[in-house]
Amino acid sequence: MIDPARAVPAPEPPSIGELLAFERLLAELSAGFVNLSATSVDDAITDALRRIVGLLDVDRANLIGFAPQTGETYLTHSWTVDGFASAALRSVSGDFPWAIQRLQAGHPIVFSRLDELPAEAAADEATWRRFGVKANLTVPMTVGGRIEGAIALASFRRERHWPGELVSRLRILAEVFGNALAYKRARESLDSAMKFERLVSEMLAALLTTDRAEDRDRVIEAGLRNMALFLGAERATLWERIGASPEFRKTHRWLAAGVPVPPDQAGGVAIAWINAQIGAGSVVRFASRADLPPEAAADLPALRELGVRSLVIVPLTVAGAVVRALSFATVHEERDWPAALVPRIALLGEVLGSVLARDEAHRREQEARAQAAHATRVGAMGAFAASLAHELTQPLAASLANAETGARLLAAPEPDLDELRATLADIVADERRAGDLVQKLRRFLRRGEVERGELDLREVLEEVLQLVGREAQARGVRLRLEIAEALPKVVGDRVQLQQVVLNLLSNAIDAVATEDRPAREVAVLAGRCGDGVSVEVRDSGAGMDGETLARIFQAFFTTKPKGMGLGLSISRTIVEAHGGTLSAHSAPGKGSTFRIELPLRPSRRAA
Amino acid sequence: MTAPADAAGTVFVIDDDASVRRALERKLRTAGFRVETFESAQDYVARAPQAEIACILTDVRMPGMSGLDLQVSLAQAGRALPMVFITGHGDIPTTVRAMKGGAVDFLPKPSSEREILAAVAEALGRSAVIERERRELGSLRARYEALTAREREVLALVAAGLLNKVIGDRLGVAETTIKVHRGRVMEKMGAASLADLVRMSERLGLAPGADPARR
Repeated sequence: MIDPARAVPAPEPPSIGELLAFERLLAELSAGFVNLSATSVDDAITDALRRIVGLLDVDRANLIGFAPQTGETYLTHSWTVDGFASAALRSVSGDFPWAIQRLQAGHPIVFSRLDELPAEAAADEATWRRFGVKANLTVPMTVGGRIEGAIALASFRRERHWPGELVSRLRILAEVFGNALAYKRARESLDSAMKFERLVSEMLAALLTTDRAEDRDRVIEAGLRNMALFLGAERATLWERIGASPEFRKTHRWLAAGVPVPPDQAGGVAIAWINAQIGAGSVVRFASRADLPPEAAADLPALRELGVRSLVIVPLTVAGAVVRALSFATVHEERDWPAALVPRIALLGEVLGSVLARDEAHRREQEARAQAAHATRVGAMGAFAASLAHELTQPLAASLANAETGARLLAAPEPDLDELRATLADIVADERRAGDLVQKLRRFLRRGEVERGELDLREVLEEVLQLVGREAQARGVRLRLEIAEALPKVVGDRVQLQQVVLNLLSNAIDAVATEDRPAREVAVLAGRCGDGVSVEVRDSGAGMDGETLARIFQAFFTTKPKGMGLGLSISRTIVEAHGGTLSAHSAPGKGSTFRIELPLRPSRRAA
Repeated sequence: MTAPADAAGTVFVIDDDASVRRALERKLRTAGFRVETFESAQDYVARAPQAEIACILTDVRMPGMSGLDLQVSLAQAGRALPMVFITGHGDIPTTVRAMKGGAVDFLPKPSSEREILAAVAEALGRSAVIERERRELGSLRARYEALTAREREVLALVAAGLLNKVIGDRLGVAETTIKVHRGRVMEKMGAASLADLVRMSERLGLAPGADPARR
């Protein structure tokens, strides 16, 4: 590279002192960089460059990095002696085409004068000239055998000679720098991973403490935003698969400022290849649309329409099925999505997916509870259906009998009009009675609707007793109702409270009906209790031990072979929704007492 | 429909439901039957109503004593009457039990007037037959009890198919004496023939050598 014939007149070989000083600097830097924290690497490199400038009497020392993905060349660190302007840390790819090519091939750039440069370096020479560089020494920086950048020394004030020893030592220095930078990158990558994990866990915490669906949507959108900013994406979208179809629809999205809202329909069939990949559980990522394989050609028009320049989209699976997808895209420039990002995006997706799945599960559970409540109500009805059917049969049978009698009376030569009138009046009364029964049945079967009104406890209880009366009689159980005088009215849902009493009575009848004893009695006692009222259902059955007693209000706990174990749990829920309490007292052999205490009107909270 | 010709019978209606009770009472009364109503089986047992020709029309399922319980209870007390059961939910075991207990009919609830009246008429018809048989047996017993001890002996042996001579030997009297006894027995019992006399003795439950009057 150095042509002795064109040797510069002024240059002198470095003195032994210079070289020794350089060796010492190398030793110091090598030792010092080992213990550096990631954040101080940059400062340490810049400081090292300063010391080199001083030691070697050059005017500027630069560290240059080659970006692995983009191929750009950046000026990353620089030191300039006083009296000259500092170098801007920027891309220099276009300024030194020849030099970069040589460096990347592993060759140093060494010139003592600009006219030593070969003809093909014309563009580079022009740049150096523009910057006022008279002599330059640049050596490649190798890290783990790969060329990742270069160290450049420039002289502005004079042309100068670069001894061969200096070149080899500078290579060693470059290697020290390279290792420090690699360490820094590793640390940064670790830090960013931790930052990512922190973002994910923060979002998870926010999601788990958020109960309302609309709040949750906001948290998810905020999470998408944080992730997108972290990843440098301009669009972040959470997709939900449409049933078992290959298509996905957007559920949440974040767009960077100035990024246009993409048309919705383009997310459908138009990207069939991407959908198919995601549906099959594969990640799709491309730094540029040009990177897509030929079979994805049909997706290109839609991607162009969506403005997607680069994309990473990760499928989210639940129980082996792809149910959602999470995508990050850029629209202004192409960018690479390293494979290392995929597991993180999948992690984020899992968090979002699990929260959404929890929402879904919560919704299903709510539905199931409503169904179960209805089932209990209907089950209670089922237990008394025979009773009610019998109840309904009576007026209908009477009506039919009367109607036929009436027809016969009317056919007589001289109809007995008084008898006819009485017959018709009976028919009307019985039809009314049948209608009332049907209404009652309807009220019992109606689900979900809460109708609060002023209730006369006596009517409420008598209706329930009427319903279970037949069942109790059939099973040899005597029902006793005792209601204190002048009980105040209670505000509540008639059907719900009746359901509770019905449930307690039905349990009590079960408890005594299995007992082989003469006094099979269930008592219902209503009275005043503080500011409210109380209703007790007492049976003389076998009672319960403490262990059973402790669990009876738990859902799905039952001692009955065919029970669902929901009755008492739902009953307690209903009573508490009325601002009251439902408690049980029992001991083996002593029967059981269930006590409802209700305020006259539910508190605001409970209402 | 017109009232049955022999509407002399009484229908005891038992139903715990007042409306049904009223409707059935009206139907049967206007159809020409005598009707008495009871609100429970216990009520019927307690009041122990009397009527020569009667039947019971009762609901099966009632609080307290059921229709079937009543059937058993009346049979044990020797006060059985033809019974028609009405039920809103008849099941096969209940039906079988009721029919074995001598139920005339088992009607669903509700039933048509035709079915109810037909079942009641049949039950009363059966009651009339039972009543007639009961009366016949009563008069037969009375006639039998009017016989002398010797005549009863002769009746038993004649009904057993023994010849006068054999009877005379067995009782140690002359054959002609037996002939006289036999003529008196035929006359007192109102028997038209020997075959008639044999049937009567069967109805009285006379086995050879037995004396129903002493049972």
